[in-house]
Amino acid sequence: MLNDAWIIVVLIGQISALLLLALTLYFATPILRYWNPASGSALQLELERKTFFVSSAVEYILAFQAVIFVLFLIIVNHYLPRLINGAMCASGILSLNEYGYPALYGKIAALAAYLIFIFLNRLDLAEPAYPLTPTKYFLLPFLFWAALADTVLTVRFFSLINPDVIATCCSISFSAAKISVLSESPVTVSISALLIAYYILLVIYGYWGLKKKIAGLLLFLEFLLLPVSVFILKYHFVKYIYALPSHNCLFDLFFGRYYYIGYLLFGLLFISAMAVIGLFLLNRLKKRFTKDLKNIQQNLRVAAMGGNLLFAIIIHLYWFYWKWIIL
Amino acid sequence: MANENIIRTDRLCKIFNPGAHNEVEAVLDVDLALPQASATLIKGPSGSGKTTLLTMLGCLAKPTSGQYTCLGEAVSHWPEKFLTRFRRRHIGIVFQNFNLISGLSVFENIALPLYPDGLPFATVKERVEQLARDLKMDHRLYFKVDTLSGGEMQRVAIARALVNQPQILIADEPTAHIDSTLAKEILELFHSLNKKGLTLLIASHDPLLETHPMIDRTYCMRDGRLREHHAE
Amino acid sequence: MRRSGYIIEYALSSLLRRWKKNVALLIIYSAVVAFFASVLFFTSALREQSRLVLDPLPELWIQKLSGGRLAPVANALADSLRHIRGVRKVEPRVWGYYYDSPTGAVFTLIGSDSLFTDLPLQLAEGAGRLDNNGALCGRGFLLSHGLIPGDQINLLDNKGKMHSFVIRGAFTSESDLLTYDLIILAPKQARRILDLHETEATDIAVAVYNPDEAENIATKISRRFPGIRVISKSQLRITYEALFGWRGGIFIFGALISLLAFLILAWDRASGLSKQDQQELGILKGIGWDIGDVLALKFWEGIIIALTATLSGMLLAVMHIFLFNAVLIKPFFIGWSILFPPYKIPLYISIGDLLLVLVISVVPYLAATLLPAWKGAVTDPAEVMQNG
Repeated sequence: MLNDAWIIVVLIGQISALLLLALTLYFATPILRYWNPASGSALQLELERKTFFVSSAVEYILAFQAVIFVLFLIIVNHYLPRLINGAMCASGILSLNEYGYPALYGKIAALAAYLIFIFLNRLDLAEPAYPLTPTKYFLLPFLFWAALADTVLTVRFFSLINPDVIATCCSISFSAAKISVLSESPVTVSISALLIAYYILLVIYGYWGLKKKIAGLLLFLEFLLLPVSVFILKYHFVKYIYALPSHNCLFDLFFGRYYYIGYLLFGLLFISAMAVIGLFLLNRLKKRFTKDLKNIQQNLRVAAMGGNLLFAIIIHLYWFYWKWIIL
Repeated sequence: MANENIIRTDRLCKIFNPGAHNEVEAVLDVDLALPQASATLIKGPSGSGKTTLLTMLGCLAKPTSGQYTCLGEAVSHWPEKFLTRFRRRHIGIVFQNFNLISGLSVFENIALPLYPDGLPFATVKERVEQLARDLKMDHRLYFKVDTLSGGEMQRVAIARALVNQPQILIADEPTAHIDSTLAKEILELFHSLNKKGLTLLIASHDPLLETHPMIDRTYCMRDGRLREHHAE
Repeated sequence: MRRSGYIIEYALSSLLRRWKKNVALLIIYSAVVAFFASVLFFTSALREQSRLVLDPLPELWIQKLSGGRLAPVANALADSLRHIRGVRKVEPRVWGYYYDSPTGAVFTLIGSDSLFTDLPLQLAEGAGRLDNNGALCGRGFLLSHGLIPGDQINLLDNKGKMHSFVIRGAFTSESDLLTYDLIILAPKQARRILDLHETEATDIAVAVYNPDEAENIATKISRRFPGIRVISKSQLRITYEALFGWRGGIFIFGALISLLAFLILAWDRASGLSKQDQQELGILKGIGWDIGDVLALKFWEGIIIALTATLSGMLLAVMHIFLFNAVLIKPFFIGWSILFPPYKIPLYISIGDLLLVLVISVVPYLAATLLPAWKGAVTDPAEVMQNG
């Protein structure tokens, strides 16, 4: 399917980003090797100027990748389901071959990596001593490999899609749910356990977030909370959003008939996760800074807790609406 | 504050292409201490390193070695970005050949240094108009700079150097491209600014400046070295 | 925010001061965008039209095969199909092709007495079921014979005998893709022309209750009845979609090559700073703009150029496709004609297409001009002092 306009545009975007990143890596190598802030040499001045190319390029790349990510979501959620027989949503599209889900996760991971780099970069450039230079540039090779992997996965995914193949869509999600509803199986029990775990985690998370202590623990909690949030959404709350008891495919959330709520919900989770990672990194690195970073820490904490809280409120509002207003 | 040296250098050096066959020692071991509201003249033949010294003092370039403390900040090894921001806020520079941007109006040329700080337009307008009035340029504010005479261009260049309300004004050969009547006028302007507390640093070999009453110290630059010059 | 405002304003004035240098670049840029957007808009319009055309079709239809060739279906098969679970309606259809020797063209002949309410029809008389002497025609037949509704047409049957019909109505151009080459007769007359027996039909259309189940029912039918072929609408739709995608794809690769050529040009233009440009950047650096400010300036210059070119390119493409009916690219699509491109392309632009054009025009341009922009931005601020 590499000759389809949508896919071509995505690949062009990917390749533009990859080429820029390769150039960035080329610029960053001498910075890693020769950076010496105490020197007044011409070389140091040149390296200093090169850091500007690196910052701008990574910011461009982040913007490109964000646009590409949106296009990718549109393709798998809305565009390809029209073309592929039997696929009604992204779940069917992404499982057309073994590269679908890795491509999606690869894109999310790459976005996260760019954001982390830009976050560190902004912090770094705010102080004359450039406290994180050249340390932060060690991230660049990883960014490059992540982008390369992302591009390869995307190309493989799209190139192997054959419009004649009949996809299975969410039939797996469907049947699993049916079994659990019909047979009153342990799955039902584990959903309530999952819910309890979610509430407990949310409370501890909020407590630790407010205590402003140990960012590492908050990070740990976030990485427990994140999958639990997705699970309770998938196995419990999503049916109130769809108003369908047996359908728990998460990708329908991205459809217009559910007001694209999926973009908001997953966006909130993503923001929280990024904020917690940022907070953790900041705590790790704050000794290098002379400036007071309390404000940034405060903002990140608000973003982390606010994102998770808003997510919880929204899904409960759906549940509340269904349980108390409709029934 | 008045007695403190707002410009202080310690063995300031600028060497181009160090170690290479075309090595140039433009500035060597300059020690300088200038108090606030002083007016300093640096003399010397062209190629003596005056301009290079001014680029370092004006935070346009970094020294190869040595220390430079400006307004209490040790700026010598700051990255270029911070030097630029520092200069934007505290130092005004009048370049030798005006360096106005052709095609733009007088107003725009004067306002340019304020753009990166994103000041409210009302503030920008007020400052530019005030300066234009002070420098008697208000009648030509919306003319393209290409239509101005040499003296007017110089006044626009000075207005641009003052628009960020600097504590230090650096001027490189401010009288080189204008006739002597105009030059006297410009020097009077500098004098009045100096009286208001602006620290002046002027490089020139114009005799008009040497004898001007506002100059309170004169240095002589030769082969990159700076010597205090005592008038006979 | 305000900083960006000032910098955008400066970028705009900077571009306008050099409009002579930028105008050639803009024209080429717009042309490349117009090329790409034309292909995209054209395939989308065709797609949209084929979707409109496919919509009224039944979910499934069944053909009889004998020896691998298509053969008439017995009407009796329709009765057996009615009993399959999930089937809503079964309808034998009578249609075929008619070779018209005076014009040398082949027309599609359909036997039907239903009202065709879902297709735009220009009627000679009041609506009603098609009588035995009546015919409905597409514009193709009418134009090639110089006829209008109310005139008479003559068709030959298999034995060479001539039959006359009165044109009761004509399809308008809106449905050209489907109806351009169409002639509709009453079923009895159509059978006569097409040499079908009273108990036979060309194929059988099957409507189902749940369209999502159509594929399953199709499988069920083809398992139960040997010697038949079941075609589903979704298969047809996907074939069309893939076909347009593939056709468009070839053109898009062409557009990509021109895009690449343009990018090389843009890179070259952005790299070759004139002495004056260089001096201006030097002055900006000298009076207190830092590298980031100049990079922002260059970024906004790029955005202004890219958006201007993209918008004008889109506008050109819209005019090309919908006002001038894709004169420049339609011949290529007709050349490979499996589908018949309509004469009048209905205006159809999707937000998705606009987004695609925007991304493919802006992203590579910004990527290509970043390095030259940075090279300009690192102009030494001390230089402005030195060139005395």
